[in-house]
Amino acid sequence: MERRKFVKNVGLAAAGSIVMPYILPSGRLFAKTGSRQAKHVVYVMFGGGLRNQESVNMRYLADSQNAYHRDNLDIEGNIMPNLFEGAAPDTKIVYGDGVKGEIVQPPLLSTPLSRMGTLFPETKSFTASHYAGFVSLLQGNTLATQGLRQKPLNPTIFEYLRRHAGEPASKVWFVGHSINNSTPLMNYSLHQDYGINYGANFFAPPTTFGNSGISSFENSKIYHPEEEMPHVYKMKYFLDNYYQNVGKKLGELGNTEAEKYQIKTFMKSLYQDRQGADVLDCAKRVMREFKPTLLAFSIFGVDTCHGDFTGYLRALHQADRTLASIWQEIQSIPEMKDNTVMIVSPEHGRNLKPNPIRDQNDWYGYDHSDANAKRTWSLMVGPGIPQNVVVGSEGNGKGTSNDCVPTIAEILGIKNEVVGAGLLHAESRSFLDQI
Amino acid sequence: MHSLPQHINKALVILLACTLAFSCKKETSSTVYELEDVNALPSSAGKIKQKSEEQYVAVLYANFFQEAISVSRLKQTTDAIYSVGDKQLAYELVVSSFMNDLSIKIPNDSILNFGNDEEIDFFLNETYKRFYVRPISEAERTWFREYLKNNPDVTVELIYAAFALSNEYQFY
Repeated sequence: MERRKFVKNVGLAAAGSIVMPYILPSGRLFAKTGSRQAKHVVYVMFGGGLRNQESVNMRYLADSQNAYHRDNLDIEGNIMPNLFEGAAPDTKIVYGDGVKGEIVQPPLLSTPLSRMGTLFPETKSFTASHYAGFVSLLQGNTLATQGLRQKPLNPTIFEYLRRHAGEPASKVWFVGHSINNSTPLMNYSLHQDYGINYGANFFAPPTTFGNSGISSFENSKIYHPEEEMPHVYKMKYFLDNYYQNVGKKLGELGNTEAEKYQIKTFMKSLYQDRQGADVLDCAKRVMREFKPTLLAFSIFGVDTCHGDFTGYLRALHQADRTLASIWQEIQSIPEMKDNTVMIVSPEHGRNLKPNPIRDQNDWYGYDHSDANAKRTWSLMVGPGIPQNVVVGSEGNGKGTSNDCVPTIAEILGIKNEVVGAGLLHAESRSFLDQI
Repeated sequence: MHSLPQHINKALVILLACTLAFSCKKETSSTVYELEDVNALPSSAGKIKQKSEEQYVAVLYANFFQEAISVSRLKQTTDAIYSVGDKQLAYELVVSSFMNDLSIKIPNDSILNFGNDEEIDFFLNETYKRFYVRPISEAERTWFREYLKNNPDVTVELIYAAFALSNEYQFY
């Protein structure tokens, strides 16, 4: 069989799996229970820690530098015009392109995402730590016992989706910003009822498609899916079964042989084109290739704020363009257009008061450890999401970062199963129930 | 009735006791049938510790290239493995990448003489030692003989890939 035909069959098999009842790795046969509000969710975990003051509250330098600087820096303005609605700062422009960041490109979107969807401008995070924040965004809970170099203790939304909706592995993706910060640990949990068999496929593009990936994987052969690889798998399965009687069995993510072939072919194409090392580029290519039911990806540039406030402002502005670009990409894929909800949520904020580190503009940096660092926001846009709605306000917060998981579960029709598992935070509720 | 002297009685009792004590003694010398001792469990049973990514790559490289991997290549390869969520898939890429390296040291396919059981047995014995550091069991030998006879298109490369990707090779 031709490879192209094989790939086509893979696609048909994946499509068939959506309409057929599911046989789970556990052997259980069942049909889905809830109806879906959208077929796809793209979940942006806006990492690195960003203050509400400079993002959703649009106060540029007014709240961050004015009180600590002899010049008048009481300058407000919106530097994320693709997300939020508001006028840009009119002076001290440093967040754009050019040597001094003075060149600001026009927004990619004619209408800000917050106006196209629902904004929760004041939500609460239960942690000010990057890893714990990301894990909370993925498991809908914040556990005091969660270790920094430990897989999530409670199931992630990936596992809920694969177990309760029977999603194939190649339809559930996590594209992480790095292999650092324990990021590769987050694609599945240690929970005994979920775990690796329900995990998400994961890439860390700067490594997977950067120098390490190129030197390690580019030269790999892709064995013929019908003439060579079946022999390898048959012999391996025999060896594994024999060893299982006396030894151990390794858990696997559950990509089928056809799915593995598709992923390898996809990777090979990126190596040939020298593409994919950028998180945004990789996320877009994953969307185009796999049309994932759930794609989560993390961005992390704003953490420069510890010692480079100017760089932080640029990273915020760049992230705004990234999110707009992702939204445009979603609308350019026929299978995902008008059928995808995008959710954006930072993992935590940053401090109210600065640290003593000053950058090239003599502006102070901010760490993340106080109550202000637990102030965040969330935004969702797409089919079924009320448009131009703001829920809560500064000083009147609504929602928490743990609410993203039940929200995704509701959109993808597994809310009852996820809530019924009893492993979400006690306060965790779908954002859709709070509008 | 005339009775024996008391000291003779005592002597008889002691003699009887000694006779009972040292008679009908179970033979303790072991019988040697000139058969080798056989362990009840296969030698793979002792492999319970999973190799780390670094250990796996270092051992695999040494196996395929008969030399130690460089530190920089080990770091790059393990980083690449960390960066892929499906570890089995990542290992498949690493194994096939090594296979594609011209300096790999694996036997030529001519070693697979499918019509000759002795030659196949020799290949299987060596393969099990090379990857698992143990002898092949009769059950395994039987299965592989049949598989190879029925699938003459199987190559040494594919067999080695199956062993390198098997669960047992992940443990030590």
